[in-house]
Amino acid sequence: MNALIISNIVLWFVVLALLVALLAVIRQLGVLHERIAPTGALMLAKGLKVGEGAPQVPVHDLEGAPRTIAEPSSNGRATLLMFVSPTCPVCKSLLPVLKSSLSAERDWLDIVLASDGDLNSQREFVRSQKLGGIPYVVSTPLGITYQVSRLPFAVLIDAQGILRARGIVNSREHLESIFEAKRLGFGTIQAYFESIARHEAA
Amino acid sequence: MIDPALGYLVILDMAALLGWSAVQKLRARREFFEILTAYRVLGERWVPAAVYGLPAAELLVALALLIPVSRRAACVAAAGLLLIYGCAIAVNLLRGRRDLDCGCGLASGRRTIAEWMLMRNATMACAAVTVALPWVPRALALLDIMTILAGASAAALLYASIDALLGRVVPAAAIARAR
Repeated sequence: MNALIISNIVLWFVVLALLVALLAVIRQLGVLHERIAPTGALMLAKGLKVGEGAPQVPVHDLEGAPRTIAEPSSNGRATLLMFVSPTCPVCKSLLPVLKSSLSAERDWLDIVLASDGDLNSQREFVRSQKLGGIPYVVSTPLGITYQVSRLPFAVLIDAQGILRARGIVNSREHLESIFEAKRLGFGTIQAYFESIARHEAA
Repeated sequence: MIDPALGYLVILDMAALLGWSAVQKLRARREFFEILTAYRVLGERWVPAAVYGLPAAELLVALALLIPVSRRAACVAAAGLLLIYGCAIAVNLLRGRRDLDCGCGLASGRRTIAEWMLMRNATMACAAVTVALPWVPRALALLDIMTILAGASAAALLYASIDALLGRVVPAAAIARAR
């Protein structure tokens, strides 16, 4: 009888431990799914064509200074147009990545942040996230023209005003893949892999 | 005849579930008000009363479950509450309003109503009605206490696991697949 009691106690401990582990695994699974849900869809099927001229849009930055997005320039520098919003948590987590990219790619790339909505909350966002050094434009037509469906959204435009890449950017990997695609001469990293696959098949 | 160890196990969990759910509802009265209105099963005049009435009923049933005299009536009442909630969900599923917030875990965020919640409520109502049957008259041994406490904890953890799996992971996985 004693042995049975002890075995019973041990079994209960094991059952409870297993259930705690099960709950932990399921919760992690939920977190994981929420993180990967809007996954690396770098390119959306419809929309502007990579390799063609990007639409030029006149905008104003937070100080009210005018500038034109996608205007061809002679200095040979590309522009990364990054659509963000003060209300988007992923944008906030991406900002440090963006800043480090800005310094790593500074010999060929300018970054312009774009948003729309209330000017005061934008200014507060710039202040709290210490974005002082990065041009920040506020324009609703800009987001509509570039067909921004979700944030954070990146558009890469080269010095000639040609659209080089556009898509949702959730992580450093997504952002780097846009730069990598530009270096390799493809609109998206997916297009690059597809061309490799075609090459190998041939 | 139900063994008292099993009976207490079910009753303990049922009381914990109802008590927890009542506390959640009372802590998030505004959200609960909006959810109740969105269900569109009560007339608008009755919603403000139900915001306090439902959690009060839950607390009352939870307490009554723990008192031996009122136990059998409370079991039936608990099953009744679970079935009422189940009916409200079923009505809205039939109306095709699958994006409705079920209000099940007010603290754990929004989740939409689904068929598995009907199964869950029906299963728990069955358990509640079963322990309303007469119990075997026997004194509880020390080992029974362990069975009750460990069993109730295990059942609660299992409930939380299934809830997280069907309520969060499965819908999120379906969204990920649809992409």
